[in-house]
Amino acid sequence: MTPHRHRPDPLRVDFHLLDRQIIDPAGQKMGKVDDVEFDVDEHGRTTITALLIGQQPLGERIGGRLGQWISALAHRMRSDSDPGPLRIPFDDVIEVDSEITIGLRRELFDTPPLERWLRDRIIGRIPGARDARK
Amino acid sequence: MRASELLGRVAYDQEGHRLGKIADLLTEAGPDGTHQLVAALVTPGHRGRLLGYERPGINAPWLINRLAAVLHRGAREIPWADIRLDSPSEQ
Repeated sequence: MTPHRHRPDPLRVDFHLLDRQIIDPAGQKMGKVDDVEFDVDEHGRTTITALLIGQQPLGERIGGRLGQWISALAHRMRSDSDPGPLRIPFDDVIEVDSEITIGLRRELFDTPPLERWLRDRIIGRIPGARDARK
Repeated sequence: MRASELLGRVAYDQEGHRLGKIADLLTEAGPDGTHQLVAALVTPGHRGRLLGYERPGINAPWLINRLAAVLHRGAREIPWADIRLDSPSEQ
């Protein structure tokens, strides 16, 4: 069954989507929309397919020296198994308001590269950070 | 294709006349729930964020309205089918 969705119509990509906070059904923050992916079919129809989160797409969007620096930083934080930006299918977007609510839990997605880098390099090295019960 | 590849690009009409820069992309929901690109908001000058006051039916305080009128001067929505992105000189 298709879930009931609340999205503006017409929906403006820059105004309604870019840089808005994405939250999961429990209200956990996923990150902000750094870019929006489109698909062009054989009839020339262009449709929104996904929201992208990550320093890499953000850097590419900003462009210039600042954008290159952000992309380079994102590249340094990538692990070998990193598939690239976090990609949220637009089909899973339930509500577009001051925040964007998706229908999937945050745990189903990879941890964003910046968060993982901070966890592995800084937070994880603090004594006792691995398991609070010890 | 990403939104960042379209936003800020110069748009031309079918005859190759320059319309301006793409400031926003408008999509509409189809019967299957997908959002299809139907139009672009094009500004004649510098592409900056238009803060949303260019949308129809927005009632802002007088001062904001005056400011928005200056910022949004010449901004218009052009059907996506009427837009081409390649410059006439590239033909």
